[in-house]
Amino acid sequence: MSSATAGPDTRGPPDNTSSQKPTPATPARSRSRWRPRTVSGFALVLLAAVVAVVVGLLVGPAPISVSETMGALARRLAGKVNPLDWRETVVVGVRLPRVLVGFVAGGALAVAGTALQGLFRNPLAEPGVLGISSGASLGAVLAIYFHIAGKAVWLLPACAFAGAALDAVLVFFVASRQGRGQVFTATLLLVGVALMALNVSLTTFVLAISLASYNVGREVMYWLLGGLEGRTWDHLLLGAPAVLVGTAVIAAHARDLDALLLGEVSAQSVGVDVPRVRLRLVLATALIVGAAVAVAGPIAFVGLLVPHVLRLAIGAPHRALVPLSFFGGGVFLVIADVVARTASADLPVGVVTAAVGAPMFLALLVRRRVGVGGA
Amino acid sequence: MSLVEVSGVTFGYRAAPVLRDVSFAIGAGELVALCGPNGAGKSTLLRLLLGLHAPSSGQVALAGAPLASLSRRQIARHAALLPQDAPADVPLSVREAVSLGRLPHLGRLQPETGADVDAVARALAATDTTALAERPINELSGGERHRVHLARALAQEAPLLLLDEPIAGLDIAHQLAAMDLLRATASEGRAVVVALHDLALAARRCDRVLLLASGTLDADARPADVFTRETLARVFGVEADVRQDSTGRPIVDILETIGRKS
Repeated sequence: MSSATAGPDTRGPPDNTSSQKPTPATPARSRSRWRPRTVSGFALVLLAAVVAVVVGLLVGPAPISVSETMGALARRLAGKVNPLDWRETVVVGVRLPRVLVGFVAGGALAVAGTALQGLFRNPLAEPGVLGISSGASLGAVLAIYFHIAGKAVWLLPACAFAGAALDAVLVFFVASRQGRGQVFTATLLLVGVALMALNVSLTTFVLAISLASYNVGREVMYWLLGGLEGRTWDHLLLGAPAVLVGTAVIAAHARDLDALLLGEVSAQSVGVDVPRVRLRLVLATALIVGAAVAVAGPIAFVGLLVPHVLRLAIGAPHRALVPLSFFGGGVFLVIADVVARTASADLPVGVVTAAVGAPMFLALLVRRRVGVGGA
Repeated sequence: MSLVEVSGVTFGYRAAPVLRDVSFAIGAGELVALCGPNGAGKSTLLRLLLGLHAPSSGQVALAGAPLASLSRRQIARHAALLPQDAPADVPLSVREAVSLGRLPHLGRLQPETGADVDAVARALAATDTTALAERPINELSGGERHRVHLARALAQEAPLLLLDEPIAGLDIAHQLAAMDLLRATASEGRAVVVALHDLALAARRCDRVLLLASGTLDADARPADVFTRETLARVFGVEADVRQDSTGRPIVDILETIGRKS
């Protein structure tokens, strides 16, 4: 019964064990403030955000110079609109909303990935696992198939969002029924995976029957690849508020996410109401994923790649990781969209994120351990 | 008033009860060992004291307030639990993890105050982990990690400290140092309940022993009254040699198993 054997303490002998008394606070009073790496990480990501937005505004089939672009933006900001200037229309009416929608959607997906990986302590968690993005896809595809999407520009995102919301409610309803009121992590993931399979098969079914008409089939197919083409200020107004609210909720729970890293019992010991926090975070995640997929389509890999890269690069406290994920995801998607636009007029950005993201992720896996931990 | 009072608590995960009609009260200044064979219900009892399970009958009260009437945060200001299985792959630095002990004292967006920083520094110093403060936890050895998790529980500065096998992974010097630390914590006017498999250590260092045997409280007394040859044979199924040192404390020497008589 005795366990008084030497423990697995292999890193050198214990030193000055006699000093182990609760001494008054003589040690240096250093706070757990921002690490230097976190500060430089923020500086780098914010710089990258500015560069990405500027590049996103400059690249396109119409040759518009830097000074013309800046001039058009400055005139709009000053309230002087010149509807006859086609450059101004392209910059302010086409490129700027596209860049901003991409930034917000990419940021949302990355924040959702960060939150879900922390919440489930599972490095594989990403916006797809709760079945939310596939629910949004199904809603959008149905809207196209039934010719609802063409009636107003906001109808397709609205249908996609409704699909995501319905799915989130369904996942939580089934998961909490199964757990008799309590929602368990594993149950939640399994219900999400089951609903995702259902959504995907229904979406494929709608795609198959819509192929009878070339135009409808093409539109469905194209939406499913995920793209930012033709995104307007309406899309931004529809998506951005939901994303900002959801991201703020997640950021406000940064310490709870940190505490969950210590395990569920320890988190509860320090006062985190785990079931309630889990419910809030899943709902906030559903909100931002639904909004992102609604305005940008199902875009793969942002939610998996960006959080892992940031964890490896700067470490894990969520008060830094959540805002960094937002900017990192935004930069990633805007740059991917620039690549898509430059490569071909018709290349959807979802193809680029997966094509670039998957090899990058594999390289990360080979070079370093990827976990909820990382560094 | 006692810091924690358990009255007639019965609890089971499914149908079979894990704990049956357990009652006791612990006051400030006490260092209490929670002993019993595997599966006796030690971890379950500690979780009940923190309100992680609701008893099917009976009640747990912290400082006079029934657990059911307290929020998780209010409980956290009153009681800290160090669970047995603390995870290894925590991507936080030691200081960041220990600072999480201050969570129940902070508003959602409130930055740490000087008092929080001091509490963390004291917890680091007490567990001999100050030198590790900036290291990531997932790079530490098992024993170092155990001390970090102990520091987290200490930093919480709750009047009631509950520990589930806190010393099992430590080397002998750190085991003794940890017991000294728990003694000092109790002397500050807090109450410490520590689940221990090491009966010899429990006998030497604790004021009082709660002995759990298959879900019931078999004994609740001073070590000298609990650790007798008969009790050790009956509850643990071991033959032991029990002597007394000059102060009257029992010295328990486990010799061999004899099979449980019950």
